[in-house]
Amino acid sequence: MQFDRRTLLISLAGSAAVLALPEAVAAAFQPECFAASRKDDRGNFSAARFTLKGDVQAIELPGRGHDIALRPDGGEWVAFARRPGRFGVAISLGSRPPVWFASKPDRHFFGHGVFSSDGKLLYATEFDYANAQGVIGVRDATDGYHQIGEFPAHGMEPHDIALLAGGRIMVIANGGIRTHPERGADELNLADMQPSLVYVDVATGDLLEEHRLAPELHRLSIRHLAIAADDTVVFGCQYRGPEEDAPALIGFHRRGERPVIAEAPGETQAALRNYIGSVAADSGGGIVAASAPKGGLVTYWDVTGRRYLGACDLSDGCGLAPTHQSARFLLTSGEGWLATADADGAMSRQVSGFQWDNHAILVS
Amino acid sequence: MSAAHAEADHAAIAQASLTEIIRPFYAALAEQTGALKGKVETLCSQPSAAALNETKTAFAATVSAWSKVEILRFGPVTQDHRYERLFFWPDPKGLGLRQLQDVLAKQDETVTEPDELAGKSVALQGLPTLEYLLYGDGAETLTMSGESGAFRCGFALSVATNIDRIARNVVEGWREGAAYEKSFLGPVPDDPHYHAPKEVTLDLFKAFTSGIELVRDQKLGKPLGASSEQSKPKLASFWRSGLSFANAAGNLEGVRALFAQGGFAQVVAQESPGVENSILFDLDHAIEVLRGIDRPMAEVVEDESLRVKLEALRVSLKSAAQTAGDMIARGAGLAFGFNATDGD
Repeated sequence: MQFDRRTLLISLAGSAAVLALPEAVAAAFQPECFAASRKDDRGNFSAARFTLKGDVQAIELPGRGHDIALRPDGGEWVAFARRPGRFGVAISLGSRPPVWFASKPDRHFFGHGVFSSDGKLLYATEFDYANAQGVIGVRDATDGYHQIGEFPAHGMEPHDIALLAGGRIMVIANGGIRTHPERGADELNLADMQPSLVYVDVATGDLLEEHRLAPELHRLSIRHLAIAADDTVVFGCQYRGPEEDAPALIGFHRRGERPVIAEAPGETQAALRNYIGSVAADSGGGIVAASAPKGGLVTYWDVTGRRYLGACDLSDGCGLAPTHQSARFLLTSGEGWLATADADGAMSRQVSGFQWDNHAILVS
Repeated sequence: MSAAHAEADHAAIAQASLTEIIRPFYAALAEQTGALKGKVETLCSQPSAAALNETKTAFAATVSAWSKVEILRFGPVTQDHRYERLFFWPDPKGLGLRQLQDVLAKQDETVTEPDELAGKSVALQGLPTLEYLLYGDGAETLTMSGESGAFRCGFALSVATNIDRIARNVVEGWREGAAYEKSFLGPVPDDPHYHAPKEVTLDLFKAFTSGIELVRDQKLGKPLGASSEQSKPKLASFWRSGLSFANAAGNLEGVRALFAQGGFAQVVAQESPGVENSILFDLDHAIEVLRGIDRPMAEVVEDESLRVKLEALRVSLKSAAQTAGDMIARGAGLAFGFNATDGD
């Protein structure tokens, strides 16, 4: 696939018939546009906005990317470096050149972030490794993404973050694992790791609510989350204890309640290989997909019932995004697959020339 | 496969990889870096064209030894930025070159002191810097007595000394009784490096598959580009010294050793007897082709018949990595994929 080094825009032609329909109905029939990071056949890293027919816009990245954050007005999207990377880039859907930004010298990104609900600020999970503490970096999206502050993540290793409806409360998945860029992937605190799910007032940075798992589950690292119906936070975990333990990996939580951890039935639980790579809610918010790339499975969960619905196979499948239809998701794979799949297990997939990274989002 | 059988395999793979590959290959590197340092010393005390040539020969031998361990991205070499200090590459923005030229322009004497150099930018400390000093613009001053040659040679000696020290530190980090040996051969749940025997196998397995990928993508794919018009020969490793293909061949020799002597060939043979030989055939063929290219990357990217040959080689490497990767992952009970790295 060829594209300009910076950006390539392909205008999508609207059809006259679509214009006659109410906007929301029309949107449901438009092909979805997604965004994700990836690697091509020559080892080049990029991030792209794409439909199932191909790229709409792509940008070359200096290293491997991770998650994408969409600005609430839908006018631009941000790709973050994978941990322990330091770059981020904001790409306009229009003609504005990409805006690159970086973490401070003694910080690195964990690869996730979210915009404030008014689109003016960008929050990113970062590691202040000299002081071994997780922080949320705050950047001004209206002024070149200059960093204007940061606040504590109230936990070790903040990974995924999201805002609850209303935009005043941030939920942070603190993975709990301490690493250091100079120690490679060495995990330095498995004996006393303390993952947590915390809620923070974004205006003040104050801790509002904190949940830790039972002591016997202190090696269950809470890493990814999605906001589903009724502000239910659905979180996916990775277990760092003995492989044969195979604990439940999917949790549900609403503010003021106790977290509920749900197991997959029978042999499916062990087949997840102690590893959830990504979590996404469908467009209706009632169903959540959770991928297990090590196990080559994508599982589906009922949000109100807090229960397992089913699974489908996808080798190295990790990236998940909602589509315009309820109970239907985009699935991406590190082995090149792009698929649309329904929670009932139906799936249609196609090959692409890219190894897709862990996460994907729906842009429009 | 029973669990007990699988555990026995992991221990054997770790043991064989340590004694057959990791230790001897790093020892060979340290031997070459020591010899290289000696040659630079001679060059600085008695500059001559002959001394520069001998230094270049020693540099090529060091690159060859480095290439075999370049694929190992775990263990003591990952501590204290040793890997990046030895080999800051790829460097698509030319960061190292800019810093290096800045040092040369300012004749910053502090770089000639290895202790001070070790605290400077990682991009100034390793093989790419030494390559530039020996082969890049102004290298001819090294053959003459005089101030600019003396500074350049002092810098080169400092880099060569630094490289030698790092290589020795890595050897030391793997020696019998060292912490890394203990955790590599007998991982326990609370160890910071490895929590279970399978994780050691996974690191070795990653060295195998990403070693092939390194050659396929970084060493060949990117410089070659999709066509000669789109080629970028300066993205090749060691293009100034003309050692790009020797470097890639050395990487695959490391991969081959890991496969044949580290125990993965047996895992593949247990999964499907005979396939291990076809993997070895593919690797040997690729090594032979790369060893046979005695020309700089800038010429090779323009040569259509060589391009075709190298693109075919990239395809065969991909299929070898996939076939072997799937079988090893299955046979050794590993989960390995683009998205299966812990912590993401």
